[in-house]
Amino acid sequence: MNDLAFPNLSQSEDGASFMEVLSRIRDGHGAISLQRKVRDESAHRIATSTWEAIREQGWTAAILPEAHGGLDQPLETVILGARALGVGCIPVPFTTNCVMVPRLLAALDHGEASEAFLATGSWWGVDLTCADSIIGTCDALTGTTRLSADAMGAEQLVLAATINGNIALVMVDANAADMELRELADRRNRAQVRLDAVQCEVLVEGARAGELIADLEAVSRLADAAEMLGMAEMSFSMAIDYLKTRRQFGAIIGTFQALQHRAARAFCELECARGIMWSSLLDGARDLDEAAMLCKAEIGRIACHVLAESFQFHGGIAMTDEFDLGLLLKRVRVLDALNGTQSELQNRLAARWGY
Amino acid sequence: MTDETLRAEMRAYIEAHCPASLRTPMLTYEDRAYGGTKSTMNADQRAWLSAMADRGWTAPTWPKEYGGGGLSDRETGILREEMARIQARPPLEEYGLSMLGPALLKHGTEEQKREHLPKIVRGERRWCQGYSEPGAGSDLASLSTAARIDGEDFIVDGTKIWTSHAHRADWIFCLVRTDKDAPKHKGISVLLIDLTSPGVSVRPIQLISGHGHFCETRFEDVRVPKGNLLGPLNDGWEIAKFILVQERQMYGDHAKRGVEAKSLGQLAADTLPRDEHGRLKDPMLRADILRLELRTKGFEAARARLRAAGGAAGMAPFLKLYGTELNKERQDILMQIGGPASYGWDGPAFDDGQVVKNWLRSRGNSIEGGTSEIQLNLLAQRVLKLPKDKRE
Repeated sequence: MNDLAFPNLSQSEDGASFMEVLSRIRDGHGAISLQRKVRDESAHRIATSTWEAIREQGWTAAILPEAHGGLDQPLETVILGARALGVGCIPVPFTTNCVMVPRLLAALDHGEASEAFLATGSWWGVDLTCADSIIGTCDALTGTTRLSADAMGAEQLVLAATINGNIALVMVDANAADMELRELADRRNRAQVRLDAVQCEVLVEGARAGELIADLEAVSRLADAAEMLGMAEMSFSMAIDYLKTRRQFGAIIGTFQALQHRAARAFCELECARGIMWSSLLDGARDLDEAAMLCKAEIGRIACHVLAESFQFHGGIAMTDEFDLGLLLKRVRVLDALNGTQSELQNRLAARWGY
Repeated sequence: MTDETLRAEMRAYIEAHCPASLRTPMLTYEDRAYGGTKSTMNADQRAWLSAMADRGWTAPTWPKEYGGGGLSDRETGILREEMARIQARPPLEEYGLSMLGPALLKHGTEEQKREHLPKIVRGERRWCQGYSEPGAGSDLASLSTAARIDGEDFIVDGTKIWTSHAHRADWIFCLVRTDKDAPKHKGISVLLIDLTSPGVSVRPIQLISGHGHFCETRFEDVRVPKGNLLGPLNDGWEIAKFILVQERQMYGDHAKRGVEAKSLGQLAADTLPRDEHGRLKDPMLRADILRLELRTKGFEAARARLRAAGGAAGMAPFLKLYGTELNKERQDILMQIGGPASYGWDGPAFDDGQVVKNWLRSRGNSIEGGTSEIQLNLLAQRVLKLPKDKRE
């Protein structure tokens, strides 16, 4: 798929073989059509047996410390995992459960919660955007969220909330909540969650909670960017295959210079996206927040462009639901629009850079 | 020697020898050090060139026996970092160094290497490139400058165009047709020609920017010793392409020049009105600047990844295409930041017209060294492996 690897990352040999198994799981479970099947047949919009295989391989434990039963892998392992799953448009709660929750539990050094998390039979849901609407005390938390990721079917929910007037991250037993599926165009697991005076565990509050929310936003942006990159790479490879086989006017359409040049330009953009992903992981430790904004804004732009070009190359067939490109398009657009849009992130970057 | 010892040693040497006047961004062509017998270089430039050439660091990766630095790519990276640390200008920028040298190392005879490489390293002999002809632009292989054998010499007849800096160069590496009956990619050879040879004439061509370093170079019955043939007779096209790859990598640096100087955003912030939040007052220009900065960062990251992955020879068309187009866009934005004054043509009030002249000159970036369209063809056919159409 990508001709050149991402060199010089601290990813170990274990990490590399880890990734290989993930790719095998992805391909063995029927990517990309799995997304269509899950959309039509699964109540929670999650490919549960694929998710089980991923969990069994240890991905939820990947970035947790060894002391908490984790594998102590560097962050880039799970970020590149998100890219590998993006290639197959696999509907599993990966970013929430292999990136965000373990990142939080590791930062909190919360052994007990880590143990409960690793023993989870399904998954945990996460929402960082509801601090203004989920309000109360640890004994009585009330409010409604809008689009909580992977909440349907979850065992626990990790939510931003306002506790006694302070910003906090809390853990709520998902059975204590009322929820309703709220699908966006990508038809993944998002829900409106309603809490009515429920009990919660306050994981962290005050300034430290604010810092951790920012950190989780950053790592989830990296994961979103990686997933979009994987999808852009997949769509481009489908497009190139199509250009090499489709015939019109008595010729393979890939011989037409108008199409060759557009494909070459899309390729250049994709090279830049791979470069940004790679350097964001290299630079991640230095300024994670900025690297993640840059990564999501620019890879989002490029992924949308590459998807649009891949669509146009395919012509009418791309518009059909039975063809896979539409699934990639919808997922890329939704990821691009959530968790910081291109223009929002661009605006913040310009301010950060002094203009 | 460990990397850290090497770094410390390089740092000390560069600190000791790089004159303060050469630790500033290069703004004009005159700021660059071209070497050769006809170029003008000031005393600081000469001293810096000489100090770096003493260590072979003008050509850090070339073998020591030919005057180079004998450094690995990693060690060269350390040298570049150390130079960048104090913003040291390159001690020498010249086509023998960037284009011909690598081809000589790969295809030259021992005698040719000993004759030419040390002089290139020391900046004693400046080279220019004889590729395009009035009738052979993008279709380079249709060139018709002819070289026929006569005893111990070739006799060369024809005209080369866009021979950059030929009027300041000492020698030219030249594509010539040595078999006019062969298919067009066959029958081409590479000749190394002394520009002082009888029958060579060079005429500078005035560009829209006022720059006059592009030339037309004519050959009328020019005698060139057979020993100046680089590589095999009639089989020079492969070498020609190899040199083009070097050239395209060099053009990819255009965008980098921009990064080394002040960022566009910083430049705009320093010169344009801002609102109470510190944002540029013109929101459209601010957005244009930010988007170009993001793309520039993306391109820089892509270059760095390709380098780290161990070379990017096949990706030269990407570097050339993207680097030059980014530079054109950067020049466009510089004109917007400068406003109407950036159109000033000359005189101290307009900084001698630098801004508009650089902008005008940059229009050629996506034409010279293979047009953007040629790079797109190469990417489509060589990298993406899309099928070629039937046209010759």
